[in-house]
Amino acid sequence: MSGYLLRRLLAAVPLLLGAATLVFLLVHLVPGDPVRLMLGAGARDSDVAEYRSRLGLDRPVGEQYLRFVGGLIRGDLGTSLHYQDPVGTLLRERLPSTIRLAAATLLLALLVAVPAGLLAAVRPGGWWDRLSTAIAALALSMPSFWLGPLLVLLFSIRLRWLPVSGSEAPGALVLPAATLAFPIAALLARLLCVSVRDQAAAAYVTAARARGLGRGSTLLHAVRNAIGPVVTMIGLQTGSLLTGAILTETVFAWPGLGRLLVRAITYRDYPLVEGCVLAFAFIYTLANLACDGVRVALDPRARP
Amino acid sequence: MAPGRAAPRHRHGTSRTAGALILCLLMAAGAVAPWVAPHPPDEQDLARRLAAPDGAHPLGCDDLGRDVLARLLHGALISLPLALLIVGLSAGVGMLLGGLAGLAGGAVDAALMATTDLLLAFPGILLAVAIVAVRGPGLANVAVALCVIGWVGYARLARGETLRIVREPFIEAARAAGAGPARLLGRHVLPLVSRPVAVQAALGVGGMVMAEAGLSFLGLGVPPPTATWGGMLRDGAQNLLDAPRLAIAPGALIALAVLGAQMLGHGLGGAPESVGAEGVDGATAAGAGSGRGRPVREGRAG
Repeated sequence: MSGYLLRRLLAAVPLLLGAATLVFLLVHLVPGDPVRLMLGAGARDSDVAEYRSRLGLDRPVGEQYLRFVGGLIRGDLGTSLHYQDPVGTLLRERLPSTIRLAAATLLLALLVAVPAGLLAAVRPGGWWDRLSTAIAALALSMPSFWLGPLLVLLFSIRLRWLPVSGSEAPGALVLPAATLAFPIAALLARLLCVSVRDQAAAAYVTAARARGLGRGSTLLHAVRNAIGPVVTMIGLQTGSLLTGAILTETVFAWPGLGRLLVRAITYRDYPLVEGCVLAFAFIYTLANLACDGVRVALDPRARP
Repeated sequence: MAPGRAAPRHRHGTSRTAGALILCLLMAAGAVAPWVAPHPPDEQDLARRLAAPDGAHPLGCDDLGRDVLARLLHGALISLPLALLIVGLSAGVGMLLGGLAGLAGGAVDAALMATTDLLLAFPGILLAVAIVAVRGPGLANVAVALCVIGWVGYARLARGETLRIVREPFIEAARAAGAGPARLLGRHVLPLVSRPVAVQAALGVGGMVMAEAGLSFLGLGVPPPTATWGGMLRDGAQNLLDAPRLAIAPGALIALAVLGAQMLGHGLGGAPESVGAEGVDGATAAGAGSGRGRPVREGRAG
């Protein structure tokens, strides 16, 4: 198990280096001058030259790349142009907020998805199955940047139960987490439902029933085997959690990595944009690795 | 507990028709917008700032006194055709590259897989956000950014299908008859690959509508004053207290377009001669949310 995870972790290293290279190329080689874009069309040439020098963009690309990779290895992602702080420090400050939001979202999604999915699986074609399918279709169609304002309108402005935005007030986590959790819960519930039904149709369940096992016991067998795809999907959903966080943190002024990225883009703070994008890619890759580990722990057959 | 039951065939047909109808109606609304919109979309009247709906302005006015109905109709002119264009380009490129890689194997296949793995290391629309952030907002940059992330899912799907197809006896027969790689690809592989790709593309339209709206919401989409649903939603969210309808209406249209694409994709996928329903289900969630139109590997971003 640990050998498998170590191999996966080592395989992720070149992938992450490739991702870092892609982000570097994006900022340094894409046609157009990011410094001109940063300072505006009316900027003086001397100012543009000074900024290019500060960012190291006046050096040969090879040298810039080596400095970039060297910095990454040392954990030095450069200095934010807007905040004038090291990018690594800014990321470390914001990361706990994003993780808190992601953890609350996953917890909420699972609390809803597991009972909803199991109920739908137990009675295929029943009223709950049909209703939950319709709700899932709706949930997957609603953009989080629409659902968020709707929830604010209802729970913050009309009912005054929860704060509109920020992270300090009690209950501030509820609306952003609910906004992010709604589509994820819908997806996980449908996946669990389909997965349990597939398992319930398997020969081992029929054999267990023939041996006299009750409905509840066979359901437990089926659920245990159905959980694998759900765990994999949770890993994949960290992607939607992270990019959803970019939009949701903006809607709710949540002080996480997503909002930091949007601010970095607004201020044309390219070292910070680079750092945020890389942080998202790293977290996403590691989260998927973790979910693979959980899946293999649950079901050794999942190991390739 | 009963085993899983496939949805009846007529239900797939209904879903397909309803989805196509929703998308056609939204497209038609955009197409006729210049003639039927009650006012020009950019006509400002600050005296009517945040005005409530009345006879002259059936959905009221926004914070610059512009007619909301006119902007919604003109928004359809941008959002849906842009999504269709991006999906068409992404699916075409992805299908061609995936088919080529599957057929060629070896280094070509390895190179494609390495490229897709690299792009998949960036969740959802993150890479598109980064591309537009560096290149600057604008219609062309949004299209390029979404195409860069969009082709990956189609390429992987087409590659997988091609690997399955090339093992079939009729491909061996075609090879024995002297068919070269180009003929094999064009005459035998791509026609078969195009069906599952089309299903995923239908689902992907919703994802792209959502992705474009998301970029516009972040201020990275088509710049103002051009009306887009995502941009209108962003402006509307600023006036949630005074005029919530400004946020509700464009969001509802985005959701409707995504729902229409989902229904169409499910309907196509559920048709008896198409790919298995499980793959389509996976792609639904993926395509609808992330705008990446990939099966299972990715989640939603909207």
